[in-house]
Amino acid sequence: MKHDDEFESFVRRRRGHLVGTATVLTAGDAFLAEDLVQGTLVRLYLAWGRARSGNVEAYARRVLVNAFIDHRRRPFVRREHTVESLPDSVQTAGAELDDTHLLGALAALPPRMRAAVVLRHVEDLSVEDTAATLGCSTGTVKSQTARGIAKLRDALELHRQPVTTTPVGDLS
Amino acid sequence: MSNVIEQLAGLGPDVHQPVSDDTVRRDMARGRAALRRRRYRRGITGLGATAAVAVTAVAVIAGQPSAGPANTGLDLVAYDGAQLPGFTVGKVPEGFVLQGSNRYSLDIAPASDHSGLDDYRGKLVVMLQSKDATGTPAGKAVEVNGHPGTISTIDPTAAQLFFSDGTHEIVVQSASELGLTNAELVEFASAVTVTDDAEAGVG
Repeated sequence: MKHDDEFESFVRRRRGHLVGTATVLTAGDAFLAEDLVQGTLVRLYLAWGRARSGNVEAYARRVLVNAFIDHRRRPFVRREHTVESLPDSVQTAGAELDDTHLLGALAALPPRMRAAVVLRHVEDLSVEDTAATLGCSTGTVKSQTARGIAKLRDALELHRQPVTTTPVGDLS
Repeated sequence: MSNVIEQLAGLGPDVHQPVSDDTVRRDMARGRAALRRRRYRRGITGLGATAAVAVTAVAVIAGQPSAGPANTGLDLVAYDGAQLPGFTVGKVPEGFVLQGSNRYSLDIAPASDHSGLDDYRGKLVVMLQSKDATGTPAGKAVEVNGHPGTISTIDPTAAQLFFSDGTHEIVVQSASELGLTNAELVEFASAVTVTDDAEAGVG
């Protein structure tokens, strides 16, 4: 039962972090985040022998990001589900992420660009680790994150602009 | 721009929410179910498959009917030893013991088998049908204690008997190398009862 014991220990230690990462990746969609984490943990369970021989946390992160990108690639993604029972846990992560403008701006980024921004600036990974997670070059990470940040800044600036009304005609 | 980066850092997922036992249990169950499905699909490679092919070849050469796996000589014998939580059995293959059980499955294996409970190679395993299973499995229709059942041999490495006891949907999986015939699978299943400790997996 060593396999199960180790896996259980990992779940207890890192599940919350994975859900947090997934929630930001999905721009606050806590239910999709939970789905992605569940799928990630299943894949991790199946590959535990291989995963545990290296950096399990990096492996899990890579699986999660790939699951997120694959999910976004689907031509049709069914987002609403009817369920017989409540989800595994109370979905609190979305409520904690109250920066709705920022999450809204994140949601507008293409999936790989969003993943690069999240890994680099939310997860605080190095450029090299981000590149390893995404399976791309460090140059791609730099360009994707720079463009992503610029887009976020533009989107947030738009929200900050005061609403003004221009008088029309002669008000005198 | 730095403001955006600071805001992003504020979303940091470094949350330390306690993970409930129930959530962990469900994660484990999903993993186990996926492992089970993969084993069904891939089958038990190596010795099991080789033995099944070899035994079948001998049967064909000897002109035996090939309605199912040939009997390797393992006979079912009455079991009156201690029972484990989840399922009780009235018969086991000769020389086999109740290796262990958890809330999802009961493993019956040779006494010399010290593998984990999630390793079904060379074993007879009893479990409840997955909560997420849909449809009726294809295979040979049989009857277990008057209830309908199906023996699926789609997986060349293990036969699976799906049956109902009127309350539960039960699965008995027999690795091919055990050589249990369909009749023996039904005979074994007829003496299986489900207790309150048993729980269906998910996935």
